[in-house]
Amino acid sequence: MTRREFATGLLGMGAASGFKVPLASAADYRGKLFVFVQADGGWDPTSFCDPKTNVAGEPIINHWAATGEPRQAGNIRFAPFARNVPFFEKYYRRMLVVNGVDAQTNSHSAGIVHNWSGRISEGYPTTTALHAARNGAGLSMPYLSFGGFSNTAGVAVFTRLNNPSEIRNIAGPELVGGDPDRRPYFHPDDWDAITRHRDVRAARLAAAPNLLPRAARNRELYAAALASDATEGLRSFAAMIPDASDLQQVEEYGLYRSTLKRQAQLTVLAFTAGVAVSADLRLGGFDTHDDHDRDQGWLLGNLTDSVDYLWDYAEIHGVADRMVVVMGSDFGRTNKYNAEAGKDHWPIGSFIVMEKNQRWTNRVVGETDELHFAYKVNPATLQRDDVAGTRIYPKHIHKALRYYLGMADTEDSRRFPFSNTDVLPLFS
Amino acid sequence: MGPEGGNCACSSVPARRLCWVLGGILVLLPAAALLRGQVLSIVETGVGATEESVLQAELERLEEARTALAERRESAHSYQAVFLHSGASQTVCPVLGGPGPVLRLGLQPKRSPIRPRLAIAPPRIPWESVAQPGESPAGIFGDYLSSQVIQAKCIHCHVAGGISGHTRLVFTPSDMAGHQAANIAAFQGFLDDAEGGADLILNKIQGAAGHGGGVQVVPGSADFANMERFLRALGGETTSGGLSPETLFEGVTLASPEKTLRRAALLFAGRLPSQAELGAVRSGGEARLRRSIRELMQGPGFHEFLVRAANDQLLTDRERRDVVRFGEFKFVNLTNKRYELSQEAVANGYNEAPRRSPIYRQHEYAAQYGMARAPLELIAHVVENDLPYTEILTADYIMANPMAAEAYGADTEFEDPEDPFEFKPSKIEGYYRRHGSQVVEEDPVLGRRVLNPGILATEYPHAGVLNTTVFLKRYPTTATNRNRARSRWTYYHFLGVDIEKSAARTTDPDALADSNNPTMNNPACIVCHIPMDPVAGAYQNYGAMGLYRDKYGGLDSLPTLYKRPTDGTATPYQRGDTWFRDMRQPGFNGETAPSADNSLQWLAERIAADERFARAAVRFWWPAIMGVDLVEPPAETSDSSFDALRLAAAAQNLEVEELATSFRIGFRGGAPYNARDLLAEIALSPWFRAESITADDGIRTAALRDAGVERLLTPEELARKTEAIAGYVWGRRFSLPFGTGEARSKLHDPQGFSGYQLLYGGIDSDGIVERTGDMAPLMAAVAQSHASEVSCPIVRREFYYWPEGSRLLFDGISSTDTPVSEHFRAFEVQADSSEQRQLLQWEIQVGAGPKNIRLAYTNNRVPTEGPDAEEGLDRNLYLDRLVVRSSSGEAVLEVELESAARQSCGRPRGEFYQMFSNCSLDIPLRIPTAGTYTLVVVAHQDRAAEEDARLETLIEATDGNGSGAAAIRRKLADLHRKLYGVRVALDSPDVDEAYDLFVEVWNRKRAAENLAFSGSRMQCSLLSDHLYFEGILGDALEFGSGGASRAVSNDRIRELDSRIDLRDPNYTIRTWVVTLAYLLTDYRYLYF
Repeated sequence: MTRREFATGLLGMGAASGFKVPLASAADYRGKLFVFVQADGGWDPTSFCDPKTNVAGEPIINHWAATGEPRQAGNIRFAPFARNVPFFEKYYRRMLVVNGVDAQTNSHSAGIVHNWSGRISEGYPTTTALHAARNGAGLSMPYLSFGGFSNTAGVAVFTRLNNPSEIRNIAGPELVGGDPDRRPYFHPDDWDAITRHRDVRAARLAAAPNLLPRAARNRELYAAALASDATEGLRSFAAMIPDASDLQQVEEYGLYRSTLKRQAQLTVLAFTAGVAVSADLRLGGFDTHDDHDRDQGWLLGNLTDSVDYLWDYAEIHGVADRMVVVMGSDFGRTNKYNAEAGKDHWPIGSFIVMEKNQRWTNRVVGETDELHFAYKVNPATLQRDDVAGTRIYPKHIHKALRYYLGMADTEDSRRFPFSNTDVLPLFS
Repeated sequence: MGPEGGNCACSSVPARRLCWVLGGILVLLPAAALLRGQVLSIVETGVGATEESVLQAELERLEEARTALAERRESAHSYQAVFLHSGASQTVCPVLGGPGPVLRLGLQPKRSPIRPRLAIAPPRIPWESVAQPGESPAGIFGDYLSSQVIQAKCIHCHVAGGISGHTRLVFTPSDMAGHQAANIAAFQGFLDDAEGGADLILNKIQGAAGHGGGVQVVPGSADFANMERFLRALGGETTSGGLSPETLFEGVTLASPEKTLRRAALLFAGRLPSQAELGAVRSGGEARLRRSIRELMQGPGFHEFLVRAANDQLLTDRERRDVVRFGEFKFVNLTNKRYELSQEAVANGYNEAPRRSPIYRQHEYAAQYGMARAPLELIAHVVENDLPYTEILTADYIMANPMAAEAYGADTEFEDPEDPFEFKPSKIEGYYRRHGSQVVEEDPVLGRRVLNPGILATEYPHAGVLNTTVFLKRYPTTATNRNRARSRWTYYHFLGVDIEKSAARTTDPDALADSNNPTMNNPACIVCHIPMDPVAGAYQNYGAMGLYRDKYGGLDSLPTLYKRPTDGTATPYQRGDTWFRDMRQPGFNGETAPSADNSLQWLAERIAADERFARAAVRFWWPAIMGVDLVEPPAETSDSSFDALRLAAAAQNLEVEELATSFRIGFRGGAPYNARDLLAEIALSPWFRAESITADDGIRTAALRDAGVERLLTPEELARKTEAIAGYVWGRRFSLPFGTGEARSKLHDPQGFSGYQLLYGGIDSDGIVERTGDMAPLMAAVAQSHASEVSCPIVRREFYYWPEGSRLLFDGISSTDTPVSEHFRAFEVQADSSEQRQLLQWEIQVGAGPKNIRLAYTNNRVPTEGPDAEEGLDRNLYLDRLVVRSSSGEAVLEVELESAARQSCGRPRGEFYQMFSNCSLDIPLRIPTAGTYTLVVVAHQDRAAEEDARLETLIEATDGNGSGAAAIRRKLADLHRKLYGVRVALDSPDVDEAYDLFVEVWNRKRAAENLAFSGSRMQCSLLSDHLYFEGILGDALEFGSGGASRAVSNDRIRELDSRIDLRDPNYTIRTWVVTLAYLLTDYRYLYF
């Protein structure tokens, strides 16, 4: 039984368990591939895509502003900080910058929930999960998560890829070390018998009556996970994973440790193999209450280097034209330094959405004042409108993304609506 | 009778009373109540003859229901006991017999069913104080709400100038005249202004609808009912659904005591229950179940559960290898020990990098382990020794292994000073704060050595978990964070309060521009900081890395930049300060810590005395047992899941409240704060035991989304389960200094994160801190790989290496039991020539029907090496004829065997059929009538070496009705019991499915493979588990010079195999390998 067939067979069971195996087939999916890069801890937009210089009579906002001025690439202004210059100059044509996004909190946990799901209270799935649910049916690992916030709200299942070198060993469970040239644990005929009989049993158990929701969902998930095309997908992905020496290495700086490039590498490979359609990438450490410039400098540099690598690697593998990449963070950082040369929490942040060959890129939406307070925007024109405008909240970003990615009206999206929220024309 | 009907008037009922104020008529009786020997009856007075007869009829039906329930007690949880119908407004009180709680039933004024809710024993939350029907709003408020709820809870925030002073409900404190009237007016005003105001208030007080203050009043409590009644009396409309926390589990069947015990055993003890334990709960029922679960809580499996579960919360294992860094010299003994070991390493040739030497590394691992595990081991120590759970905070000692104790300068006595897993309560005696009197020598290769520790010896103020170095290091502080992270996690873990959740409310950035010490003054900030900062202050003595008064001089841990700013700004610091003057002072709950020297000890005592501590304990352990966190009250009333999640959260809060209440005072007369009792009670709750549901109510189903513990085993639990069931651990390795005390496996790597631990949903205590139980294909691949790799070595060991009496899974089954086998016998053919040909005779009971006689020669191989080796000899078997006679002597079969066809292993030769290699002949026959038959074979051999030719004779029933098929089915049913804990019939779908697989594989192998097990075309990875040959070969485990374990050599295995008959002439052993792999991929094996 294939995963697709299993999904179809479960159509009548979703209501009972609350879990819905996606309906659409992803076998031939050629649509957009979605990547959400989470800069955990609260990045500093004023040293990145919403540059702020110092204001006379106010505390210093940015030390870099003492000697430098904001730069501009195309229509996008940015701070001459970290390794922003090459990044923005290389990618401004692919960028939509949304500044002045109000996270409405200075709590990390609330900020994370708000920025990745679009709602400040818990319970909503990430847009990444919705995209996987919409487009990843039947795939082996439609939704990749490398840690951080990946709430699925039951619409999808995420896959962790934290030990890539081990994946080859298990992608063919009947093979020794995943090596088809070695004598396998089971002769193909025996393995075929195991899987056939196992699938029959899994389907029977999933169809048992009177199951509690949790049991029903677990049984359905397990049966779907066993399906043959999922296994085939894993094998094709595993075959693409480079040897350990060719995997992107962990990068360290003091106490910081980044695997972001490796995450990008594995994501592109999974996209290329056709086994994934969305991914949450994560880099932590942005909570720079001390030595802000030193640490944000390294972190933002690592972030932009990694996103640069993501694009380049995607280009090499032929999936760059399909990728939509979003970068965001919990919130921003204060418009002044504290006594430890750090910056504390600030609810105003930014998002960057990237895609190739789009008319909505090379553009900045949203505005903040010189001290990084957000202005309201007109929801139709996106121009500053202090009187009748609206603040930009994370829900606006996510709602616009849902529309742009063609999942505004899916059953899942309707279950988790952004009511009374304008659809900002970010992508038009 | 209240205005809505269904109210109770319980004043005549003595003692503790429970009263559910609901409409409807369904009486649901939890099985647990009856099983405690209680009897349900209805007592009512003052009704007319008509009603009396109705009630009498219902009583009779009730009795029938009770009887039926008693018969179904093992599986039943709730049961529809009775419907009451009445045309009048009446009050009746069914009483649970004995000293138990009392339930009141109210009758609707119209002729519609009422739906009273039945109290269960023990009482959930006793309603000591319930407003009477018809009371005025002022009466209800004054008698039941003002002091109990408003002034005790709400006023802390909802007061002018308070955190919630900006909301629509602001109350007047009790020290102001007329406060009750003012507060009633506040409620009245709210109800007048706010649409759905009564519901909103009821949602808020139970923590839903985004209430920043979380749960204040638990649904199901008297306070909640009084509030509801009060709001109604004010004219507010409340929406009472048909479901309540008390009725949520109606229609849900609980797991049987046996099944519950099995799950509890795997969970708490990492093993299966014994037959005796199962038998005890089978016969002893629910009462015995509680005791049996409690008795599981001991031994290494329970210890592992405690430590793992505690780490899942505290996440301190992240620091496992780096609690006290190299170069740190406040722990004088540790510093000097490191120096000595470096010297020793240099002497052994590690001149440049002594810290890479095995002797240094192994001690360092052990010492760091001892320090890193301190909080987890303390929790385990408290629980395992039935100490008051509060001691996890108030312990005036630290748990240490011998190496950590040495580092601390403790004089703890250990049974084995070399055992890094032996933890004992210890005191930190050798901690010296930095001071000019210290003399420290530093060597670029050897590190530091303390020549004189100085004058600042420290009497360490132990405060349980809170000031273990690793806990403090896991939640470090910075100059601006100022211990707030420590405070946040202290609230979270030990008071059950998530302060960050209270900060989720909208924060205006304009307010955040405030530079006037906003955490002290800004309303947007003080929401969190009022409770958080004093507790942060209680940690005043601990620096960023968790060390006590770590600044030079040893007076404090304040940041240098705070004390001496470099930007020229003034500092509020004064010499002698231990805390920031521009922050709230160290304290808790409005009380200031009396002394800076022991403020954390003081805080620990206060938290232990706080009633929230017990609730936090329930919250702490709940995920480890249920596999999922408690449901949070939903925030958004517009969510489609709001009602269901509110119900789930309310029901769980009620459960938590009950558990916490009993935990504080002791369960069933037991000791207060006994954690083993608490764990047992959680496992007895319906949230753990729920098994199936027959109700089809959408909200109920959604609210029960987390009910039942049919969850994915964690990687560690799966490894434990396979070990418990089959004695095998996938990829088990060991390393020094931990030796066999701690295994690394492909599913669990406590030293790092190799293997599949993270891929299979585990955590690394760092970036991945939440387990996932949703099976993704990659996780399924891990499970399949596990089954693939472990099945062969397990089966091989059971059939070849272990004596039959030692088998764990395949006891009671023979390798000669095939799907067609009916009888089997092996003969040694001793005749050495055709002249001496031998008559081999065998009397058997055979059923009627088609049969097959298989004659198999199975030992053609002659040793060419070893003591029995003989060169140039060739053993052959010659078969002359086969005769089968009935008991009357009539030949039903007579075959000259030379007539058989030529094969690659045999051929007709003269009067005989010669088998020159391992070979078999199949001769069909039909037995006309069941009875006794004699089988005769005439044969001889070409002798080679000492061993005679072996002829195996198998009578097969080709219609599948032979004894072998039955034996295989019995074994399959037995394996279902052992692997999944389910009892299945021999003709059940489970056995049918497995049997079909067995037959398919067996037929194919019989047709295509040779007789050797090694010829079975499968890879058998014997050395994946380094303890595989434990008990089979002496010294099965060795350690290399680097400290890693090594499995036995292939030479030793070959030598072992040369002494064992590794043939599988009936193709069954290899078929069991395939079958076991299939069974290990079953959902029920991978999930609880």
